[in-house]
Amino acid sequence: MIVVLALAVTLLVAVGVELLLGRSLFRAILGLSLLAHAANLVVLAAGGVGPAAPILARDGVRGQTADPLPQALVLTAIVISMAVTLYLIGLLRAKARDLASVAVEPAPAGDGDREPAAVAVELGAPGGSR
Amino acid sequence: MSGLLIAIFALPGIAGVLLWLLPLSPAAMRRLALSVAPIQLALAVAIVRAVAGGEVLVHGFGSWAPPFGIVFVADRLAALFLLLLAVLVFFTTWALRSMVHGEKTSRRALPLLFLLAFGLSGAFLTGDLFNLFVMFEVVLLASYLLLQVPGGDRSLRAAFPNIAINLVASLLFFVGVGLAYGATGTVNLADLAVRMGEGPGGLRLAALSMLVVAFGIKAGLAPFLYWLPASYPVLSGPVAALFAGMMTKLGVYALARTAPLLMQETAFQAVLVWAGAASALLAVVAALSEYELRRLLSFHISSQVGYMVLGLGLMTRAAIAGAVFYLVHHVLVKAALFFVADELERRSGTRDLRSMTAGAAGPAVAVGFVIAGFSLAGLPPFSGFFAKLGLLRGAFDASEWIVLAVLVVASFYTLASMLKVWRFAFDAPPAADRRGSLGTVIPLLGLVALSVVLALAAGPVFSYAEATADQLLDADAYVAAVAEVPGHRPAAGGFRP
Repeated sequence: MIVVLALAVTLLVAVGVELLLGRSLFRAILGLSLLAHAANLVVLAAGGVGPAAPILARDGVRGQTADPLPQALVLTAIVISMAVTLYLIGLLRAKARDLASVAVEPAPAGDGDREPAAVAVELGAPGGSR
Repeated sequence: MSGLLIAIFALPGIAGVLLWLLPLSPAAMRRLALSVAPIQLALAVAIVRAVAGGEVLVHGFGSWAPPFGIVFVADRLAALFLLLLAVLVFFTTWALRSMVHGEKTSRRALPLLFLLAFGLSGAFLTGDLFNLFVMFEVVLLASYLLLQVPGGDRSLRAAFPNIAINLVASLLFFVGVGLAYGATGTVNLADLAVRMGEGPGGLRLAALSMLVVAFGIKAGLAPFLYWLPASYPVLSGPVAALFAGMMTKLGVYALARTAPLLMQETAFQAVLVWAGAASALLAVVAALSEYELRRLLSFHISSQVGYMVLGLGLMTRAAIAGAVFYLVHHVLVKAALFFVADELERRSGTRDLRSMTAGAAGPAVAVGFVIAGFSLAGLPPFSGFFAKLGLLRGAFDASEWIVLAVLVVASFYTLASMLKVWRFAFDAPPAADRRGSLGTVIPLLGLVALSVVLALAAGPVFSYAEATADQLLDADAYVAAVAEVPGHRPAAGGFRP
């Protein structure tokens, strides 16, 4: 189980960093939320992975259930990272509206980075298309 | 007495929500804000008085004994940060006028300022590593929103790098908390201090390294300092002063809180000393090459955070006392300089030093700048001189000669960059037209006056700083104070002081 978690964290961090370092803001937001998921899995794994849900502890024997505290920590972190992701998407919309472009730096003329504009259209931002 | 801790934490939160939700006119918002800020200041003074003698105020929430419940702990360090925060909130709300900065700015910024103060108070008070993470997030969310208050292209452009790097830092912090929990089975700071030595070495090292990097990013420490000058100049004037004074100091506080409790390895102390020395020097050289006034000042923040972290890393009584005194001086003077920058930018209509009309700001601002700027550079008889003297003495006692040299060289560069600002922005006879309202200059002069008072009262403040250093270095006393909190305990497990 712990090996599966470790592999999942590796994969999430690798994909997250790759997306974050790209030029498209929308991909970077996706990358950040993948990194957040990786962090959540690390904390879950750090608390120890038990066979049963902690809610069963009353009848169960000590040591047979998962540790509830990391789950509570991760729940809090999920809420926070969701709030920040939503805020970032909101900013992206505002940026698409203002600049009709969502690249980190304004693209030089002829550099056809079409994809971010397409994303802005998907999000329904007025003025997102060029 | 521990009710004070709840009051100073809840007050700015309630004020922030009321300011946000009530349909108030700008004048009424200002009245409400200006009546809450002095109460916060009074509460902070009461807490400092209560802990100055060495007592540690502890409040356990929900009748759960630590480490099961969350605790608020106020010792001398936390109380000092609360006081500095309250002083800055007071002057910032005073300086933020809808007539001067625009009605939209003050209406949007005021509620967020108090929510920021709410998160910062919680972060300074909490005795729980995970709760510290949550408070960091409260502060960060308010700061993301404050960055958008001026609106427009520049705000949007600055937002993404700022949020991305802070988010990565938060994730490192969170994983650090999780790994510390994995190593010890607790997130209560006092309990962690007891159990940290027992955990597996590798896990402990990983957890603490992540915490140091996360706090270093928040503090704007080299090599993680470049997000800071990219975002602070975007903020609207008085808000930038609060950020300059308090936001990076949150990272410094987190380091000061965790380093003596959790980081017994000398490797961490060396990392803090050298990261501090590197930012002290690199940031000030970067500042010297800047022509945008607030970018210049923002680089200075990193430089001076370096001084403080360096003093903290030396981990001797004299060095930590020097760092604490430096903190007080830095918060007052830095905020004053950002007020000066706000005045200059508004009156000359430009952010660039090269195109500023020298003398446009009038004599009152010039006097404020001379005192604050020379104090920043560490010239006697201003407060910066005593602050640097304390740190130099700490480095001298610890026989860290390279550090000593770095501090002295960085001071020269600081002086040079202040003279540069003087030459571009002030070195001319005052312009004939000096109608700018004195009202906006009063908060600036108030902060400058406080820094003069700090220089005059350097003796008593320095003894408070030394007492703070003693308290920080005595981790056992912190643990004992937290362990005394009464409350419900589950049958199994518990605190082992």
